[in-house]
Amino acid sequence: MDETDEQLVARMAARDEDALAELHRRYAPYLHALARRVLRDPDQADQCVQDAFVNAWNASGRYDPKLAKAKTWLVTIAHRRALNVLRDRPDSTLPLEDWDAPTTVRDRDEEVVVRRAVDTLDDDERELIELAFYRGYSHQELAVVTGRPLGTVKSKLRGALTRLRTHFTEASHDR
Amino acid sequence: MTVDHDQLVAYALGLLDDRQARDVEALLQRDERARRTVAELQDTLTDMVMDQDPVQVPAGDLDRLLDRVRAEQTTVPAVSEPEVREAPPERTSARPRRLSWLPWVAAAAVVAGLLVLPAVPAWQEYLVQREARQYSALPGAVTKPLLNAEGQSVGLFVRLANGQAYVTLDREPQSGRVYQAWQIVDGQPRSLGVFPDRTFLTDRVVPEGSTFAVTVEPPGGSDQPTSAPIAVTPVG
Repeated sequence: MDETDEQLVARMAARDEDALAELHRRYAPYLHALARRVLRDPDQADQCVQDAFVNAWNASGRYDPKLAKAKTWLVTIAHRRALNVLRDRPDSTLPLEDWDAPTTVRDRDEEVVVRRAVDTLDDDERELIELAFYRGYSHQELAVVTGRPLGTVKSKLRGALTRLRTHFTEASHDR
Repeated sequence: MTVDHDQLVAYALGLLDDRQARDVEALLQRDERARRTVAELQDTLTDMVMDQDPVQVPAGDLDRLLDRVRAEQTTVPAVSEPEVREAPPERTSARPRRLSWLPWVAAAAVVAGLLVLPAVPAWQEYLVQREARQYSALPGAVTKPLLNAEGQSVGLFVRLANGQAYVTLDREPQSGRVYQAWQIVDGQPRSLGVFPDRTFLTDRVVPEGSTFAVTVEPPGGSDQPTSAPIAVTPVG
């Protein structure tokens, strides 16, 4: 049976490089995707992911599985790192039009619509999640940029996260 | 201090500044319900990340990573960014292992020459100096003195290969105050974080060509420096 992520982090804390390599194998493709989506610069994104894994390696001795899943811990490290790099750039804002509009992918061979979780959100919710999570806009900045009242921004973000949570919960039950 | 659900959402999304994030972390230490809320929010965002299309990992990515962890040979806790703040914001400290003898000698000479310290308990000073030597000995680290307005050395600035800075000052901030680090570019200060102790590691990169400065601020820090820097050094 494969080791759990939590077991791998525990081995990393004991300086087991094979454990780091296995976590890298499992998650680097997604962390690179995350970093590229935030930073848009492949070189910066690659460096960001490297830094994230190094930070995880160095912090593994303090990881507490009772407080967070190892996968969440690792993704959060990478996300925070990417946002910090983004904020340190001289001009870290992108025009609103440059955010990726999500698409549903149709597999022509099987005529299956691969529905991403974000596709379950309405347009407003999707925009806010993109700008908040992938661009680091605060609630106040989102209100200014999107022209919506602050209360509406907060309410829609809460609703978006609840909808995403429901989607993932139902998806896990369906498996 | 009041933290509402929207603050927890903002925290999970990584949107809070240092001061706001520390407020939330203080709450998370004592409020299990808030911890569960943040954990659930972060799990949701993680699932969203994992739901996106993965990309091809650059060739040699793992090899470079392993080379780097071997070269650093230290345990540098992630963040005061603690990218996941599971515990109280911790002051980082190096726990290097298997450092070869020669870099230590060189680093000790650098640190001894730059770090002039007042009388403090010997064992505490020993730990501070050891930590400073360990950071100075890391590959790619550049060590400089931190100077006060009179040009006297009041601490040490070690810029690491990845751009983060390890700083040690000659004394703790006075009671009821904190240190705040700044990068100054074209006369404009930008906060690098708030630190309650005399030694700290910035979670943000200190850009080359900037000036690094430390001021004394009220708890939680300030949007702009409220007093003249107590320690300054040019970077790069």
